[in-house]
Amino acid sequence: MIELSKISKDYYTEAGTVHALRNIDVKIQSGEFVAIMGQSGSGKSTMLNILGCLDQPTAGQYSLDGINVGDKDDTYRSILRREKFGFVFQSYNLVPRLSAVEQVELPLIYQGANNKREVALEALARLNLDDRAHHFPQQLSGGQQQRVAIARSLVVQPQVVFADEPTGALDTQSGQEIMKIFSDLSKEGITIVLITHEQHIADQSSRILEMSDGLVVSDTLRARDPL
Amino acid sequence: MTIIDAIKIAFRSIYANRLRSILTALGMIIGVASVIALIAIGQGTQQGVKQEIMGLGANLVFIQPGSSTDQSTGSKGGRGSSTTLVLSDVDAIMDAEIEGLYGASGQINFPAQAIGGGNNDRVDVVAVDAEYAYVRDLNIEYGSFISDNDIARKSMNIVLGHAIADSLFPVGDPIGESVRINLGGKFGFNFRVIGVLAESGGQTVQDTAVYIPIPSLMNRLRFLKNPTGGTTIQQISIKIDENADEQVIKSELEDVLLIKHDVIEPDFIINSQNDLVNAASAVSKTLSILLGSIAGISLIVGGIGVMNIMLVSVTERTREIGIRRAVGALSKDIRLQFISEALVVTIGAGIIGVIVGIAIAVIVNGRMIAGQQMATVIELWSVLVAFGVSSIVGLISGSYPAHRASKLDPIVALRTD
Repeated sequence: MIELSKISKDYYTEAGTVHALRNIDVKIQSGEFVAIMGQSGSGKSTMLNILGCLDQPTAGQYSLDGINVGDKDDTYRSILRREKFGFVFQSYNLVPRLSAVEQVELPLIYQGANNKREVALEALARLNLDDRAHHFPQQLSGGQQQRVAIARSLVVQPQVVFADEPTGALDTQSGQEIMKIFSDLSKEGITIVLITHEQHIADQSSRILEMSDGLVVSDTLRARDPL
Repeated sequence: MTIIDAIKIAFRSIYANRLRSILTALGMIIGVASVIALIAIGQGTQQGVKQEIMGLGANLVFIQPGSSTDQSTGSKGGRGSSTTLVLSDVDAIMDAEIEGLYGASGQINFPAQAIGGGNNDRVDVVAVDAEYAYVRDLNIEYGSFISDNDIARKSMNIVLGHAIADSLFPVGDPIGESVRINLGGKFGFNFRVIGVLAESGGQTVQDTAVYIPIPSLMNRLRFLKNPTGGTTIQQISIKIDENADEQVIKSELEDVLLIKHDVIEPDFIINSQNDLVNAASAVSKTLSILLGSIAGISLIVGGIGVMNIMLVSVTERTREIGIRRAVGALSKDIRLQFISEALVVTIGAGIIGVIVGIAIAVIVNGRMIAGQQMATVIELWSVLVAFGVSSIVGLISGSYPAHRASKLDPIVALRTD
């Protein structure tokens, strides 16, 4: 489904060129639960951004379902994000001043969907947030905010959910709850690509990519822990 | 994203920044309201002046003396300072039998104090001939106007303007009462009231004037004596057919007087009522344009304020823009969002401004402000222009910030705090 071949990403700074990714080849099959691990600066976030079409590679080919999307224009990539991808961030990235249900409605607004409120409420209910639908981010706990963000990523029925350290800002118990959600989603067949630097989080995935200095240094398929 | 969603989002963020939005809108509200109110005042003044001139009586032509020339130095005096216009010019005009000319009347004006019925008042004394009431379309309320007989007898009869009759004789019938006209110091003459004019309804001097026969003063006041022996008058009013060609009549009048005065260059000035209306309109039109321009400038200043705030808003909401881009907002969705926001503010301000402007015009209308009777005429075009300009200003002010927002790199925007 996803195929990166010879992907490089360079950043140009005053201190010189930073090679964030160096000739990476990765294939991800539909339905996989991939954990990307590595030190900070290893290039894992850059890889996630490129996979999620938030960023473009400097060189190489990114093909999604057989289409080379690496060199498509901004509008095409925006529509891909809108229709096929969901994003979950470490810092939740909820819009201030919008209630939980409005956060979830956002992708639907850009899709031009009709029954936004209804669909958004369903998505919240799925994450047991029915009673928090009209709460604002500052009225919610970290775990609840992250669940709102997950509901937002799921509301468009995405093929892939990209998560950048989704438990990084949460306590252990909330983190476990969030991981349980991802694990369930994976069982439903949604492809998940998740960044973490905690082994016990990565242990819940079906495959671990370890990155270092812009390279994938190990790629381990593993049997899933029963949760 | 639909327009409706964009407008909803715009209302949300305007509401979230209520104070800032109101202050931003205030600039536009003041701009729009002042355009409408100031143009209404300008137009009202213009119309007032027009009515005042038209109120002098329809279809009039006025002849006034030209400027005097000092024989020894050649220096010119002011308009009307010449003593060349004399009472016999009126006869010459009537004798010429100009087609479309209904009547002519000479007059002398001077200010004086009138005393009668135990009261006194400042008045404009107008010494006239018997044709005056007909030429100037004066209506008599009581008694009669100055007659040919009064002129022939040099009678000491007087006709009072409506306001003067009211102020000297607030109760009782003034007809037959005595009124003394004081010209200051030595000159004072007693007259008998024979008529009172009806209220003019306009803003003319006719309500505060008194009318006496010209010959009654001729022998008594030396300043009326002309070197040629005639009676110097200050103005000849001429009533003409409303369908007659004003220009033809004016040129025929000029010919008559050039021959009568035996001069090559006119020593008099001929103006029609339309000339006066046009001259006055030109002045008040300039006033309207000036007021409108000042108001227009404040509209532009308001627009700059909107752009300023929109730029701040884009900077503040960079992260939000990143989030929206991440969940699938297209670049043009972001642009639409910010343009909608600017337009909602400016159109909202435009609507409020129109209401405030009209309210000011309505409140000011008919009130005395700084000793001036204010009149306002709300022009539909000024409302449309003010509203249209504010919307265009909103579109322009919103475009650049919206463009900047739409061009933000989602990754960079998401990393912004």
